[in-house]
Amino acid sequence: MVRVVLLAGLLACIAFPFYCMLVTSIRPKVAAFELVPRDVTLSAYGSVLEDLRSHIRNSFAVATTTVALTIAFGAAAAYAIARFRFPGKRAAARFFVLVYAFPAVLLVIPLFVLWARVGWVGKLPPLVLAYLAQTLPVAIYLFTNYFESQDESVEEAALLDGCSPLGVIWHITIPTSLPAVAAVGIFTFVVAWNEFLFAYSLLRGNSGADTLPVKLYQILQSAHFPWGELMAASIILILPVLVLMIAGQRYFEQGVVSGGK
Amino acid sequence: MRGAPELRGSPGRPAWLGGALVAPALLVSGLIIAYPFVRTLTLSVSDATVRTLGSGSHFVGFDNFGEAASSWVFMRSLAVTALFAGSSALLSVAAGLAVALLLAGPVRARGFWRAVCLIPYAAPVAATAFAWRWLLDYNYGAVNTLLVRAGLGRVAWLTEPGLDLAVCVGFQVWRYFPFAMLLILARLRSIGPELYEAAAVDGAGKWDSFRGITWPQVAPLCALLFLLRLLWTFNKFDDVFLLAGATRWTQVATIELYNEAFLGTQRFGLAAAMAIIVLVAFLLIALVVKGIKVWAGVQD
Repeated sequence: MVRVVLLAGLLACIAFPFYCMLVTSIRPKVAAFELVPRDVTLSAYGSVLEDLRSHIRNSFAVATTTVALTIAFGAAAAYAIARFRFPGKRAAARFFVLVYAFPAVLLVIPLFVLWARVGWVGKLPPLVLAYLAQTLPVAIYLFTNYFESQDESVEEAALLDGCSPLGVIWHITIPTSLPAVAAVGIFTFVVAWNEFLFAYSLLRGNSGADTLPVKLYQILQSAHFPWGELMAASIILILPVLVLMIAGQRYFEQGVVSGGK
Repeated sequence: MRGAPELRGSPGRPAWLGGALVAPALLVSGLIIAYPFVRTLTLSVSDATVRTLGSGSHFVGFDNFGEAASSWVFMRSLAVTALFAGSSALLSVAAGLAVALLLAGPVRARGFWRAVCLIPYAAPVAATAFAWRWLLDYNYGAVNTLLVRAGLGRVAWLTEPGLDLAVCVGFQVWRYFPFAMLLILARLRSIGPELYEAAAVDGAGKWDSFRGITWPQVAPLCALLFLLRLLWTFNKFDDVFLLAGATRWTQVATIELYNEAFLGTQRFGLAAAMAIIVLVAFLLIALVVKGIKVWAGVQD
């Protein structure tokens, strides 16, 4: 009985902010907070979707590109670390741990200076590069663990039968590593989709390129913004993450446990 | 080392291909981490501002470090950071332990509860920080509305000096307890039930078996998680920036150095010097984490 009460309390603590967000987003005009809304309308979503369409597209483009490159580069590097022997391998593996640990906020100043010099400030594609530095170390860690736990004998046999090393990766390793690909993909998407600091700093001066989190902050900065619309926008920002989490909870937890900051 | 095993490839897996496979990841990480690291060092001893970006800056020795060390605002921000990170880390691990203990017992649909707990952590910080802002809004927010309805007065959650920092700590606990909870829960579930059964036969109460069996098993892990949270909270930027902005009590070191770099004359040199001071503190904590990892028997 005590346990049930405690669980209910836990649920309330976690859900209350989200509940208020939802209630506010479906109220016609925010005057005061209501625990149970009387009139319900989706008008805030209509206007917000109209305003935010291009920013949603920006966020999706950056996040999916980051996912694709993280999986490609991360799996390749991890495969080399798990299966190959070459000079500097251990140093490379250690370097990736270092990359993971380096605080993002300390990167953003020199990166901005670099971006300014090469004319990348305000451009969307280079942002992916900054995100890769955050996501690659976690991807390499997850993939390396996965590859090392896999039985090597099938690959050895294929190599002896004359299959090329790249053919082995393409025909054997990748099809058997889909769980790792899912874990890396989900975690990477969430990191890139949620990211605020780099986008806010490196996209300065070009509000058309703003990703969704940055756009939300810009709305908050404007003098008389409507809470209903900001909360509707927040719900839209949360939805993809929620869907991915529910679809791949096990994979997402792996990412959090090994890469959570 | 000549002939070290890691230098030799094998017929099916030539060394050059191994190198080629790591190259893209190495290149990107090198560009985004190694270059900025070196650049931070050179910026910190220069008078670089937004105006010198085109013309080039001058070497000024350790002036920036001297200015940072004598800047009252920066020193205050370091103190705020220590208070913020220390209490956030401690409370989020404590909350994580409490929830893990709750979920380790006979709970149905444990997977569902783990997922629910992860939502605050996984949801975009921009969305959750703004939800908290709305919740705590002075005039219309849910919390003040309920307080007024209960006959109490409004509270200026996000502007009252000190209280705003406490709200930020609360936000950190709400967001990051799942991280500690997942790892502690996994450890709790690996403790054999026979230990508790034996203790129950010996007449031990719940508190006795927590102190005698559970705590010794999870204490090193909790210490490790505390330090990890300290490490990551110490250089957090967006959580505080989005929730409270930079008031007197919430201007953590990362926000202060960010403001030096991106507001006003954009003094990159001074900001880089502050960044290095923060990095040194970060490395000191990281060293302790490494030591604790050995003690806790956790591998990297």
